[in-house]
Amino acid sequence: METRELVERLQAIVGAEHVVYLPEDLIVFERDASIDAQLPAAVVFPRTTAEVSGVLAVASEFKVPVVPKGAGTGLSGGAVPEENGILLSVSRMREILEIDAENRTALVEPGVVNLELSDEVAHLGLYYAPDPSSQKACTLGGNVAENSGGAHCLRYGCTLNHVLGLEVVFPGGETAWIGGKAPDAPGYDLMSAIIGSEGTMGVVTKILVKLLPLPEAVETYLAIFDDVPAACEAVSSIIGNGIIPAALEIMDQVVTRAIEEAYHIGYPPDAGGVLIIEIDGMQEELDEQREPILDLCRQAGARTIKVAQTAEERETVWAGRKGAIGALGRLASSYYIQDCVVPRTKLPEIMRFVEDVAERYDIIIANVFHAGDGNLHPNLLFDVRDGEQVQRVIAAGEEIIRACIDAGGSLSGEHGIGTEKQEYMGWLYSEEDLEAMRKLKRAFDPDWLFNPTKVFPTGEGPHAAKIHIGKAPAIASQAGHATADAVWK
Amino acid sequence: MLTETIHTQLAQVVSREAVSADAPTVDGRRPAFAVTPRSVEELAAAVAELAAAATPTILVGGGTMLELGMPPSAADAALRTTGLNAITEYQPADLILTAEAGVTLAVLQQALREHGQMLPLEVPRPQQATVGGALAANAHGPLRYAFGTGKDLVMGMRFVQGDGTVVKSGGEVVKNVAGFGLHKLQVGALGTLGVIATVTFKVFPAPKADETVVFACADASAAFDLAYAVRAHHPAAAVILNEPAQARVLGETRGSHVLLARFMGAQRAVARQVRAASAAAAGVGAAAGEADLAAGGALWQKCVDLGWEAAAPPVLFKASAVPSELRHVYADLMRSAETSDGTVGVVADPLSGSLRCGVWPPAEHECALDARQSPLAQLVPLLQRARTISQEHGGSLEVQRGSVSLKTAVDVWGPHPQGLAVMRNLKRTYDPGHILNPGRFVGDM
Repeated sequence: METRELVERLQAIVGAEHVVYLPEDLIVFERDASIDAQLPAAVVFPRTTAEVSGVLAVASEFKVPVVPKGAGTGLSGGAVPEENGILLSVSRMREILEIDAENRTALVEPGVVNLELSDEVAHLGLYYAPDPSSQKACTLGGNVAENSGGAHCLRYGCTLNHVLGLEVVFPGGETAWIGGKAPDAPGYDLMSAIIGSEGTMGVVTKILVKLLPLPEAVETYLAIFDDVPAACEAVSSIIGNGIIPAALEIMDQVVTRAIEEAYHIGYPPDAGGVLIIEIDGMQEELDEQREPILDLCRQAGARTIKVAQTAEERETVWAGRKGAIGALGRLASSYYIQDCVVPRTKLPEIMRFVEDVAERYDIIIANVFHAGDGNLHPNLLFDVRDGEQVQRVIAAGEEIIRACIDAGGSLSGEHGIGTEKQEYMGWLYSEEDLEAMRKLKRAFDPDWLFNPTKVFPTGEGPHAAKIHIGKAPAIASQAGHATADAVWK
Repeated sequence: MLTETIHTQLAQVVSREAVSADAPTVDGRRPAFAVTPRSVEELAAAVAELAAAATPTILVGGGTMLELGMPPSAADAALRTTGLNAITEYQPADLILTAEAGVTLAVLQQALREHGQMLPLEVPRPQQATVGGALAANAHGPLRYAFGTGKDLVMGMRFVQGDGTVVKSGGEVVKNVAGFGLHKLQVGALGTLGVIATVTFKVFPAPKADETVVFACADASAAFDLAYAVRAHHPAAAVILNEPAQARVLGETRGSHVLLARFMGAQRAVARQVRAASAAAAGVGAAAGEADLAAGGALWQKCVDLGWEAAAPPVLFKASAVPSELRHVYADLMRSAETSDGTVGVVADPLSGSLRCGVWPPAEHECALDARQSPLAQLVPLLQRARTISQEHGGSLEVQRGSVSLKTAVDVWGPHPQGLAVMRNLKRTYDPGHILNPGRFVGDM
């Protein structure tokens, strides 16, 4: 296949100015927020569903791989281009098409930024609940691809629980509307298959989401513990007592110190574990939950519990939490962020294990995570120029993943598999399980063109090791490089 | 002859007593035998045998919703999941429960209740209905407004593909994006993409308070208005009942229409919700009444059961619409029903946008009339019109119970949905021999 012919065909669909193909222009599109990089043959910027359909028809005709891309904030490589492939950016499809306050829904294009939607509907007393830490930048299309979560999915669920309908262009170019404001459309639930499929089954061109009424009251507490396992015990006992707060987030000392330097929140420098608790809902509900929560924290060993007194204080708490990963840039040039999930009751045990791993491998692991969901985010810090240290980080990371799976957990709570975790899928699923998943993809994408090298193990061994051998210098250059203004999960 | 061979083959992979002649009749077809495996391994082996012998197989859980779907194109065997009846994993503090497909909802809820927890999935006849069957049928009740449906509650599953291989999807944690959502795809697929073997649910703490208020409304329009006024006070569920539905659910008629609103949560929060909803009702002239709700839960169960009682109405259907437009579908349906001889009972869920309508034969004929011999000439136009109106308001209509001739005359699923080509690929993929509930799903799948 001639790239030139492909480019000309794409230009005819979206306009010459909306196709990027010169090598020097392509370089900025080689990454998302993960550790991988690859130059595509071309990047296209369609504006309409019809243009997306045209692009996918051409891709099928030329048998060219396609990768859909939102904001590129994904951490697992889902939006990294495929070799000789088309990168389909939805960045020009960013209109909020309809807000239906009566039915509490919004119809948006996939390039609309998550937080923009909530801002846009706030005057109606509504908001869009899933709130990944990257919500200032990430797109709703990307959220659908990854079934993104966020701090508040403890109470409100992830993207899948908030999408009512999708307009999808399937591989080959056929367009379909799935779901809608009315429930119970006949047929298989294609929507639940597509949400979280990491761009492997087509391109979503419109999204109908559910909006929720803003809670009438919100309270946020910061409980300070001597260590992370103690904070985990508090989380277990709160949930074990039948209270489901809006959010339960834990940060360890490495993280709080880094945040403190960046944001000056006022964490005690010797706090071993900080637990953010947010409850929301009706005032009476909060009144009923407040004392039990504070008591359970004290019983678990909380030294002090601060209550955010104003909306401003609450925002500061969350600015620190959502900027936590970025703040790690003060500590190391690179980090490897993991995303395992364990049953909540296993949290204290797993967090002790993570501590032990850090000690045994002599690396720094910074923990900031969605404790209420049992969703860990150990950040293994390293300097990519130190090859021996990189090896230790890889080995340590694998031990943590193995331990989480052995504890009955999962590889990923919200970041997706992508290229980052694909080689570990065999630890979680049997070959029969994986083959059943491949069959699902083939039902949508018989030519296996959409994100074809991702999600499934290639059999080439753990991915991180591959990177170290082949592409290690790339890690520091961008994606895994921590910057203070980064807005990732 | 062929059947006898399979019979013998099956008896080798499951125990001899697991194969019997006791198969249920589905839409007039009665399979020659039923097999009831007692473990996931036996279930897989049985499916493999049935597939090897290309045996069209009806899947049976508690048998409460067997009339769903089109009449099967063939039914030589019945596969029962009731032998898979263990709750295999339950850690209350993790809010996760894993059960085998044949566990009944009643048993599951009892296990949860002992730990102050619940699964907010309401299904008809929970004493019989099984976890696997409820999910395959995508059974749900009015609590869907607050908690969603099966797809929102299922975190993981093991199922047996049409070739007999067992597949795991999802996991036993509350948040998981590793791998594709095969387990969600099984929800509502009526067993045509695989036999559900085990299910992992996300469960919830039971609310401290759970109150229901009954509002008697002057007419349907007032009831729908009130539902939206009450929505502002965060009900967990709300339904509107017409007179025949009230008679069956409440045991009496309280007005032209009643709105039942359910509030769940903290004691004082619920008390305020009830006060606020009652004030809203007074504002529109609706009378708030006590639900005789020593057994509030029982009342909601009756709403969910309506139309699914063992003694069937001749016709039960479900219609949906954009929630704010459901009132138009309802109003049109009531106009059409005026000329109907039978009793038309409706439970409408105005906030989710769906209604369920049962048509019972006229009382004087109740014994004489064979429920399966429903007056086709009357019902077909009624259903077709209701379907058209539902579609005009963004929704669809599914016939859930009815005679074979009625089901065939109107197609229970209605016009083919978009994405049918992909759906057909899925069917071919997961059930290559086309043996699982053949012909019952959308598009003859």
